[in-house]
Amino acid sequence: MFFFNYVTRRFALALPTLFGVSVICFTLTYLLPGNPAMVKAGPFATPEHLAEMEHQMGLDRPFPEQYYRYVSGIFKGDLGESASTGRPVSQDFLQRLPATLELNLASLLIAIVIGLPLGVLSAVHRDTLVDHIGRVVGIMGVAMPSFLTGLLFVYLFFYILDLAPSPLGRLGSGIEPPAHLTGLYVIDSLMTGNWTTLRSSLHQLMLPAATLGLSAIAPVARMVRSTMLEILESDYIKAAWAAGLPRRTVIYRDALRNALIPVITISGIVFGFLMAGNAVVESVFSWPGIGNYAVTALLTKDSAPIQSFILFVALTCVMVNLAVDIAYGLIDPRIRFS
Amino acid sequence: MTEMLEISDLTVHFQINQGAIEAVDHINLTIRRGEILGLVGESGSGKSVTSFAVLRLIRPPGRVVSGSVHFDGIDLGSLPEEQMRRMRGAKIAMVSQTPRTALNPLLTVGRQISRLLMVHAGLSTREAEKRMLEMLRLVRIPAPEKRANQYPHQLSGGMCQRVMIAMALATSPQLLLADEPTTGLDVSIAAKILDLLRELSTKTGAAIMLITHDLGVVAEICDRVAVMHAGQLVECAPVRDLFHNPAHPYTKALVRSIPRVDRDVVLEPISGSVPSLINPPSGCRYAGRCEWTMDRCRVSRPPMVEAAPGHVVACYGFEERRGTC
Repeated sequence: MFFFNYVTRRFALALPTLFGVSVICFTLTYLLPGNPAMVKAGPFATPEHLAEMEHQMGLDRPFPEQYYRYVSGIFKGDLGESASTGRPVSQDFLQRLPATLELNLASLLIAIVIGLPLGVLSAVHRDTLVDHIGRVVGIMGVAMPSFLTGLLFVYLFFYILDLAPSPLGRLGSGIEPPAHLTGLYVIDSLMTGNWTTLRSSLHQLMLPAATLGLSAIAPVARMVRSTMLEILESDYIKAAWAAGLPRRTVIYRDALRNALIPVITISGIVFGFLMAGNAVVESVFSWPGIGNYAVTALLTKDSAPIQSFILFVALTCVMVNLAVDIAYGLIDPRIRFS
Repeated sequence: MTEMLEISDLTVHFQINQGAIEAVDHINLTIRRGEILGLVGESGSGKSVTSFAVLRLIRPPGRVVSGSVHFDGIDLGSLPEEQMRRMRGAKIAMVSQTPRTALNPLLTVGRQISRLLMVHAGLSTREAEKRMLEMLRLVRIPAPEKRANQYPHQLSGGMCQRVMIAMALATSPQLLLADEPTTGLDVSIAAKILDLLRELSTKTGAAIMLITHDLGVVAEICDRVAVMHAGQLVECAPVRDLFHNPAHPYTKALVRSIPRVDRDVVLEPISGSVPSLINPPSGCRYAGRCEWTMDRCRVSRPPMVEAAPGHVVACYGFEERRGTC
């Protein structure tokens, strides 16, 4: 019951944030130079035709009314139309979203699977070789821009070593996509037992996920390390040693579980950051996700997709923060019961 | 032999940039079976460090420079780490001075007690829970079934302290290191905790090393008292003897600083403060604050001499005066 209230309260707090994001997003596009009606009407439109088009698109209405139409459009799933594909943005988005989600989740998984143990080891063996190596790996991951790591990976693993497939999309040539369940190829092919597709999709996913994940290892590892260091000095860990609990219990149950709260926070932040940062990686690997879509839209000055991309990234961040808050409650009884 | 714990010549240093902090300096101390020994001294006098050294839990930058600790005839310094771990919590238990923060915030208090029973006594989950509830009852926690399922933050400070004691005693240790077990508790609860400790020691025959800076607590429950000053042991005596005939000027000053309601005595604070323990000078570390200081006090460390049977003191001034009176 406590927990239900907690979740409801968190959810209510997310609503004003979303409202703010929609206002900013809309105002930005409203203030941007360029007339969408002119783009739509084409270069040879007469002034009468243009005025007619503006009226049709509602551009001659006052700002609040336009905002109202925009928001109610979003609620109806209407995000406008892409000038370059000629299709509704919502449709394009839904089609590309699973690709992006798959890539981001895989990257986050890599970042956590490597970053978490790295952070724990660095804290437990503080100021030893392990700690220094962890630090160097982390800094390198952050310092290297994704497009560069991506290209280096392609050059090394595809061109030289021939271990990875060509960086073109989510499946090798001639491989059929799996039956559509979640849209994530790895999960769908796993659920339908389609092993050929599973192997191909994992193979294709490998390099882009490693590229994107590499940049996120450091924040995770650093956060785990500093939190673990703090917790290993805490009274209850000293008491746990004094109580003769085995080393692995003290470090991996008592200390690590207490360290998980900041780790979840950083994972949430990292996920938001991956959502925005994937645009570059998707372009390098011709990954058919929304990042790639937004980059294309940006290059062709196609406003509706860009606007939707910003809104979507913001929405993701808000949702992830909400999920993080809920996860806190699940882990920490102090939050759950207060 | 009746010695439960024998600390010989223990020295602990903490290495920092400016040099070594000599936190514990050549201490000799014994505790007998079933005895309650009070270890008193100001903050920073090395009381807690001594108890961590007994458990072999001094970690870098700390280092045990010399000395040995024998527990029940076993040299703890020579035990492999795994065997030492089995000693901690099972044979030698510790009650921390910070009950609230010494309990893991993410585990129910019942679980924190029962898992110790599973680790040290090899009990099954079910047996451990049964015994855990018995322990909670023993330390007089009301509604133990309900409390066992609560988290530390839902309990009061006194309640947490009782849980800590229940935890420490669950595995029937032979030695309990109680580090300021009544700090931060209000007087009536503190008194209850002390009664509980005394009662449990009588019942289970466990020896207790009670670390405190409160002489009132010492007078109430201890059999013997050891007085520490700036990492050195200055006096050790049966409790009555120490209060009636303190031999060391520092102990005298400590006794004089106890507030009394039955007599009209002006409280005398001890002049000066604990000297810096970073590369301290040789000799008695109380010399800078002492009214009896002689030249040799600053040069060499006074040896422990017997003032009365079972009453030892380390003070040149005392030796000098003993001859005259």
